[in-house]
Amino acid sequence: MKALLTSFDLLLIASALLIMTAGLARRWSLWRKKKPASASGDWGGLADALVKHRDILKRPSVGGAHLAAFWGVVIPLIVIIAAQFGFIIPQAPADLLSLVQDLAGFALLVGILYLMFRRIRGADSQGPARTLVPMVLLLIIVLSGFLAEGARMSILETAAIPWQSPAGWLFSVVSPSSPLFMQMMIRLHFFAVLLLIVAVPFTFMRHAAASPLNVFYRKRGPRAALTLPSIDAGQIGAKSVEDLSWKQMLDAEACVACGRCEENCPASISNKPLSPRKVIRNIREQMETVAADHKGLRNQPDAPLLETGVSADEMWACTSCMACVEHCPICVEPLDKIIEMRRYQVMGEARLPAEARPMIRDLEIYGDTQGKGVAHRADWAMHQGVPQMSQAPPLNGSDLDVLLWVGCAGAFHPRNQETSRAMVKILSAAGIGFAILGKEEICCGDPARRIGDEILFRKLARANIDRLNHYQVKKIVTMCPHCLNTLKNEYPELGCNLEVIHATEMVLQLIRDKRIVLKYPVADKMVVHDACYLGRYNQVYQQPRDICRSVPGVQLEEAERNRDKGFCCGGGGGRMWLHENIGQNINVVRAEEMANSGADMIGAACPYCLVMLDDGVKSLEMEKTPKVADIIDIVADAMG
Amino acid sequence: MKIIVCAKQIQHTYARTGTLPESNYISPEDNIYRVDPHDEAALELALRLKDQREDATVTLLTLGPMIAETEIRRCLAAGADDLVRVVDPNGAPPPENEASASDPLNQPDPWVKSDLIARAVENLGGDLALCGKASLDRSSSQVGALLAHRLDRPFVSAITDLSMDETGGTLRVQRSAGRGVREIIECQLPAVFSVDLGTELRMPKFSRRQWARDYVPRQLEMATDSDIPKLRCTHRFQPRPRPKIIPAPDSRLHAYDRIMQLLTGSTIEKSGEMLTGDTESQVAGIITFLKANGILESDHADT
Repeated sequence: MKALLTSFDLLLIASALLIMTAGLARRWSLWRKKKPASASGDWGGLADALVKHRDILKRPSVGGAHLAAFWGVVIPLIVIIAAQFGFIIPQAPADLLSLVQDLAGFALLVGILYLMFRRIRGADSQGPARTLVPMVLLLIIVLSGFLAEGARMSILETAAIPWQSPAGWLFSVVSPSSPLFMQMMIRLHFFAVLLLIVAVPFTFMRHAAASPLNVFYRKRGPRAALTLPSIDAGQIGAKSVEDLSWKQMLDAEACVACGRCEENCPASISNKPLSPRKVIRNIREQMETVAADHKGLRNQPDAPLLETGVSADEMWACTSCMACVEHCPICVEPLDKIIEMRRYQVMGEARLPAEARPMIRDLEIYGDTQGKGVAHRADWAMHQGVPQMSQAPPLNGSDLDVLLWVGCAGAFHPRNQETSRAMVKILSAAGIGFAILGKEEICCGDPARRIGDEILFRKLARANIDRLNHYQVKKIVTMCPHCLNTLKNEYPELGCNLEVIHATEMVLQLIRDKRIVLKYPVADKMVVHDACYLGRYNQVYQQPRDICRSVPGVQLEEAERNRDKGFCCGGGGGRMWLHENIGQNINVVRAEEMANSGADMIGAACPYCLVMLDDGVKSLEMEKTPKVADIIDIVADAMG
Repeated sequence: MKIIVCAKQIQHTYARTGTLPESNYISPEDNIYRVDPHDEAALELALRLKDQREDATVTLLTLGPMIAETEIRRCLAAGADDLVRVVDPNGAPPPENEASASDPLNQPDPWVKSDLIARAVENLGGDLALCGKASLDRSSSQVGALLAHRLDRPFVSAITDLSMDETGGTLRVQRSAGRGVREIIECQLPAVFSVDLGTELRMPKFSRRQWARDYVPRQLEMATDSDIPKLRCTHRFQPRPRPKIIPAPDSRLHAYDRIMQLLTGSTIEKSGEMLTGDTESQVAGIITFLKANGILESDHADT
């Protein structure tokens, strides 16, 4: 530590840094050439992730170990670099610095040992070899550093335990008091550091460069919105990795395969072949192949197709629940890659699971998922006195408090029609000025978009936006979280900026304002199922719970997986229209979990969840199964 | 081998939600414009044959105005090689002839249509002509058979599968003979088949969609005046409107009750009291009922 570096050492350091930079530049050439110069980053988010380890610490034990290892590397590095300039520091701060240095090194030792232990012990298939090299290097670095310090202290032969370096003193017990040994340890320390720097682009330590970069360039704005490709320019999804955007490639590069996505993925949990971690790994492997092609190292004319790495079963097993995105500590998004792959399959190759084709065709011809047609879209409101925008004289958006967006399920499914009527009852009782588009509303486009048919989504969205603009609508309340997400997060990119809220948000506000009164008990124990598109997509977790609490006599339970860990019902991302042939049925898994919470009623806030959970509950072999009800229905029932 | 697929663009009325009797209670949004689904199935069979044989080409043939242009272009994008439109050289669209002037659907009769198609098929040199079994709007099921008659070719109706043997001379078709009975029929080329629903349709690829969007349909000039219409539809009656909405049966009930609900068309039970006994007590019962409901006011109705 005290020895200043010779010029030869400086040369070594410079060449190590050069090798690292060259290695990274070569490895990253694929995405870096696509990256626009104007791409801006997020310093605040980066600082949060690095300094506080905000998302990594969601898993306290391993997150803590990583935090210790991180600071255990960063602090000594800064101190040692600073020490090379030979500042004259007064004794007291220098001692303090020594203590900090010592503790940081100790933290690194403990953290690395824990991580290593976990890696070796864990029956994890992700290959200890890949992570073990940098770990062993780090271990050598920290041990040799302490041994050198220990040797120095045994040479000095201090009797009392020096408070400046307690850990160093511990090591002085085992290290011989020979200057030669100390010099050897310092050299070992130095070369191990050099080796680690060189190893960054070629081993697992790559994440130290790529992951902060990924957090820095993370997607901002509504993160639930899919990217809007320019279809006419031929952006029809990802055929090979070269069709991915630079950020999507950086995602794959940054992934450390920690597996948090997989542990929260409903498809993985229900024994389907899909694993978000594997998808990202496959993409990275193909990127490595393509990068090798570009360098002329391999003689392969075309980039390998993504579908050779990610099978159709994997691609179509995704429910787009966004749990993988939510739980990734470094902002990797497996979801948008799966959607890109679907886009290419559907638009480029016209390969769509046969079960879903009738739904897409119905959307094309009739404009709704059920194929009943716009003429029947207001049938649920017949003789209910529901105002319609197109009535004579036509209403105008500025005269209304809110436009009620019913959605395909609410307009056609008998069960959800009840919910739509319940919402009408609530809004009328509260004296809200509302109307529906009636026959002029068509599907918002969510099913088409999540299945990958961007062309159809564009067509449906255009038609809806024209209608909304025509009536100068200002505010929308949607019955379905999928419509909510599309209207709120995805229509703005198409030029439709409106205030969009979900029915539960609105109803809770009405309850708080005492505009509706809940008088009658409905159930004893209730449990709320978090709809993915309401919770993770739009952060509406509390409102459904608060509504249930305002119903007289309700005791609210929580399911085992709730809020941002909430488990999907299995109906999103077009899965509603696909067969579930592999593994367990997701809806049954969730229904069982909800039933085990001991509630006698499950409150859902999404028409898909309602149907899926109802089916799931019916197939449970239990003595007493809970009822499944929409929260809006519950409110209407409680009003009497 | 050249395959001609006849595609009819139809106005399909799938609902009747209008309020005006003059328009038969049909409002504009009750209609959709599409290619007849039977013809789409015919196209799918033709495309499967094309996948099987390198030398096959598929031509779409349509008559009349392009009322469902996006849909017919979608058919083209699904894999057909070209689209031919039969137009009248006199400038008037083909349906406008003497007989069809009063035709409720504004279409020529099957006799005239089959003549136009037959001449077009001969003109294009089609070896195999496929058409839908029936159309959703007129549903006469005649054009295929009449086309075969005009061309003097063998005809199989309502086929659901089509393949060709290696020599290329014989076609094997599967035909649904009703009640679940199927037949496998071998047929010599050239031939005419009409196609039933039941095949899984393909979706167009993006590259083909773009090609089809900019495709200019070929025009085939064909006058109808040589052929005198032999059939004429004078009236077409819409079913009487049934505004009663039958709600979906309550899924908690047993199957028997659900079927009964559907049959009765309502969940509301008819309430009331059945009067029994002899005539006098029944009369007394009626009078009591009328008084109780305030319909009969006086005790002395006879005075």
